[in-house]
Order: sequence, then C-alpha cells, then structure tokens
Amino acid sequence: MDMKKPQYGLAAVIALSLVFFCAGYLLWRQGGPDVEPRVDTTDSVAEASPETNVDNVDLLARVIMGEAADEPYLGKVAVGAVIMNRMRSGSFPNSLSGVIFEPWAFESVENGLIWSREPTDDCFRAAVEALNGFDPTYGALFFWNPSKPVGPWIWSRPIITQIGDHVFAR
Amino acid sequence: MNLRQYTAALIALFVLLGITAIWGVSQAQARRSAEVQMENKYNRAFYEVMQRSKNIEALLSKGLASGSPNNVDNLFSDLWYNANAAQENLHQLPLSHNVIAKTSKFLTQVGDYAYAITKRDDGTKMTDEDRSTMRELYKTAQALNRELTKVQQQAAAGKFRWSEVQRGIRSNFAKGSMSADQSFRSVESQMQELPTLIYDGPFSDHLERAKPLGVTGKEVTAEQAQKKVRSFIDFKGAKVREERATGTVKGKIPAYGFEFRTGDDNSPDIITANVSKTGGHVIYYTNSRRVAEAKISEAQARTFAENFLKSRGINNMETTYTLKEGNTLTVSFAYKEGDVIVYPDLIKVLVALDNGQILTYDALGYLMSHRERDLPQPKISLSEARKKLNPELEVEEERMAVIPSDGNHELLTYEFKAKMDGEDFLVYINALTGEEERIFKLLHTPGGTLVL
Repeated sequence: MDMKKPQYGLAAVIALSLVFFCAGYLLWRQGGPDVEPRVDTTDSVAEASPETNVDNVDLLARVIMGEAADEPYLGKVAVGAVIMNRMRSGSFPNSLSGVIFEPWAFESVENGLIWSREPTDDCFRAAVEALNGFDPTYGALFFWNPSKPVGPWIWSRPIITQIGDHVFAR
Repeated sequence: MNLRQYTAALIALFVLLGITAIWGVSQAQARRSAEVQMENKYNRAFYEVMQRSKNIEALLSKGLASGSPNNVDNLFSDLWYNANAAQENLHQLPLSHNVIAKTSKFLTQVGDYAYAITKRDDGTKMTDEDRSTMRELYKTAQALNRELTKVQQQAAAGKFRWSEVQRGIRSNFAKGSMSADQSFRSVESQMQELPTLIYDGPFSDHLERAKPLGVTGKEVTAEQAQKKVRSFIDFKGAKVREERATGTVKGKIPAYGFEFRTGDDNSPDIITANVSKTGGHVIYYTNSRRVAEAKISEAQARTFAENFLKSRGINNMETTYTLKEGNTLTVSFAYKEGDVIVYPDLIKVLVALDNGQILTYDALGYLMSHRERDLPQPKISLSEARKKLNPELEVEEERMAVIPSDGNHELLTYEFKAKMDGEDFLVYINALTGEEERIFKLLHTPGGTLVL
C-alpha cells in the first residue's frame, strides 16, 4: 500500500494536467466565432428577381435569418426591405454586400451568426419578395427592438411602423 | 514518493507547461498578426478615402475652370468614379453610422450630380445654377479634406487605432486618446450645410419627398378600411378566426394596419395588410401561409393572378413578367394606357402554386406613380426609332412604353425586343429625342426570365 501512494500522486498530477490541458483546448476552440464553411444553397434557390442575381437571395436570406429568425413573416420581409432601402440611400453603401458587411451594421454579421445557421424557407421567400421590391416599411433605413438597449441617437429617427418586435424608422 | 517518481512527475509537469507556453505564445502571435492585418485593412481604406477626396477637390476645381464642355464631361466622369470609390471605402471603416452619414451622402451626391450633368441631352452645358452649386460642393470638399488630414494626423500620432475601437475597450485608453468615432465627428460637423441637390439622378434629394400620385379619394375610417380589405384579401375559403386593427402607419402613404388569422390555432396563417387613409386603397397584404407542393402550372397561376386583379376592379393591367421561386410564382403587372405600357405603375402579386391563392399583393409602386397622364406626342416615328438600333439586332417585337429615368421622371420610349447572337435584349429608344435610353439583357432561367 505504501508503495502505491506516490504512484497515485503521479497519476493525479498527470490527470489534473490533462484535464487543464483539455479544458484549455476546448475553451480555445470555442473562443472564436464558430464559422462553418458556407453551404452553397444556390441549387434550392434557382431564381432571383430582375436586376439582381441568384447569390443575393442566399446572402439576404442569411441576414434575415440572423436578424429576424423569431419575427413573423412580414417582419422578415421588412428587415430585407431595410437592406434594399439602404442600397438606394446616398448615406449607405450602394451594393447589397456593401450594406450587409458594413462594420457595425448588423449584429448577426459581426458575430458570424449568418454563416452558422441555415435560413428557413420563409427567410428565402422573404428575401425574394424584398429583392422584388416589396417594402412594408415604406422606405425605412433603420430597425431596432425597442425593448433592448440601443444608442440614444437612433430614437431621434422618425418611426414609421412597428412589425413584430421591431420598430422601423427613416 | 521516491526521487525517481518525483522527477518523473516534475518532468511531466514541465513538458505540459512548455506545451501550454508554446501554445499561448503562438495564440498571442496569431492574434497580433490578425490585429495588424485588420489595422492595415482599415488604414488602406482610410488612405483611399483621403486620396479620392483630394482628387474630388481637384476635379471640381478643374471643372469650374474648364472652358470646354467635352473636357468637363471627362473631368466629371472621373469625379463620379473617385466619389464612388471614396464612399465605398468610407463604409469599410469601423465607424458608427451617425459620424459618417452626411459625409457619405456628400460623396454620393457629388459624384451622382456631376454624372447627371455629363448625361444631359442638351449639349452638356453647365448652367449658372450648376456652377454655383459646384462652387459650394468645391468648398465642402476643401473642408472635408482639411478635416480628414486632422484625422490622419491623430491616427499617425497614435491617438487612436481603428481596431481598438472595434473591440470597444475604451477604459484602457491613455490620457488624450480618443476613439475613431470621436475623431471623425469633426469631419461630419463640416457637412451640415450641404446644398439641396435636385437633378436627374438616383440619389437626388427630390426622390425622398416623392408624393403618392395614385392615392385619390376621400378620407376613410378604420372601420371602412377594414371592411374593404376583408373583401379584398383572397382567403381561398379559409375561415377568418381572428381579425384586428394594428394601428396607423406613418409611411409615404398614411395607412391603417390590419391583421387576420386563418388556419388552425397551433400554427395560424397570419395575413397582414395596410390600407391608405385617403381613398381606402389596399397598399399591400401578405399571407404567411406555408405553401405545400406545387399542384398547378405557371400558366394557371398567371390566370389566377390576372383574374384576381380583374375581380378587385383593377383594370388595364398587363402581365410583364413572371418568376418562379420554390412553390410560388411572382407575377408582375404594369398599367396599360391605350397601346402604351406604363412600367412605373407596377403591381406585384405572389401566387401559391399549391392552390392558386394570392399570397401577396403589393401596389405601392402603382399608388406612388399612377395618375391620368398627358403623354406627349412622339417626335420620331417607330420606323425612325428602329433605324437608331444597332444594325446587328433582329427586332422581334416592338411597342411604346413609359419607363422611369434615374431621377424618377418618366420617359416615353419605343420598346424593342431584339435578338443578337442568340441572346435576347430589350432596347428603349426615346420617342422624343431618338436617344437610346436603356438596354436590358434577358436571361432565361428555368424559373422565368431575368432582366439584367
């Protein structure tokens, strides 16, 4: 028995070190946003609107999923419409990807969420309708959830309507 | 524990420590390298903005000094390009929208305005008004460059780093340091006195103030509007379980909002609608119902869409294109005045391909632009217009069409559907001036024809 105690000690040191090592490794793995390779879903979305191209449907559907996954269908179209309206505004980038990847513009783009979740069918339908020009927000350029903290300057914008949990403003 | 075992344990510990240390150092290096790359990317964008902005200032000044309309054309095309590049790069910087909005708008408009001048049909002469506007823009560009230089000096002096702002660690800042947002605020403050620019371009100020021309009639009450929309929506026999008013909407067209629920209680189909306060026009409605597998053909769906409009008393609409997506078909309609197709008066309808139900009706385009038009008499004939086409095109169809210009004015044109090298095009020749105004390429896909 006496002989074995030190071996337990050695085993304990090694085991503990391994535990720390594994924990560290796991933490490291989870540290960055878990960006999965982009799945090409263009086959399932074979069509797009005039004046746009097929890839735009996929990209827009991803942002709609990221920003409005729990919103009603109209709220999904509305988020897509805000992105389309920004393209047509002089104080935003004038391309779809420019608007979507603008720093700070969309939380789900900043944290990589748009690449980790596949858009649902109604996100695709909403993206298609928004690209087709359907705009239930009448030209809104901003949307936010009034029950969450947002920058004070955003409240100075004239609110047009509320759809689901988001208010839409110019 | 004897010495050997003790040594073994220590060695094991040190090996693990060593591995951890190597891993830590490599992580720190990777992070630093990523940070430097970010910083370089942002600096590249910033220096690009500065260089383009300096070019803008020089080009505006040259344009004002030039006596040759041709050379002004060249300078202003160059201006348009530089302004676009500056704006694009500005939006790649990690700055809040409220510190770049006006600068961005200035860059967009200065290029767009210059470009609109070069495109004018009447000999491209700058009017006195244009010259004074250009002078104001020139002054603004000078002020912009002064402020950008200050930002650059602050960045060079290490007062802020672009990527530091991005991580939002402001408390660790040394005294006298600032965020990039703070540094840029002074740039934005120079942009307060921008002139209102009205010209024939997509970013002209007049577009934001467009009035709905198709919204006619008397004020209606919310009850009248609700009754109207209830009989308008295509419920396809589904029982309405619940309906309610959702309040007013303060958009381009002041409206009442309504919501209807059909289907079962667990997963109801929600139909949302807006009806204008003036005249009680249905602006849009959309049904969230999930569409089952397609059972009807595209041609049948098109008929459903056409019959829907007719039954709702919306006449003289012609189908312009259809597009299949999943189990739905989008059908686009434009108003037809006599033989002339009026593209700005646009209604879009989304048909479910499982039962032919109209899921979305969107008449915002129509209500914004429809009116009784006094179309001008064409100054050139159809055969004269045909002669303006590229001789390589084989014309298949021709008709008259009203199309929107960049600045949302309307142009009376001849529309030619034509073929070249097996590819289809739509070409629009201005019926008053004979200019080729637009050319679209038609791309045939399994879902429908895309217009590029």
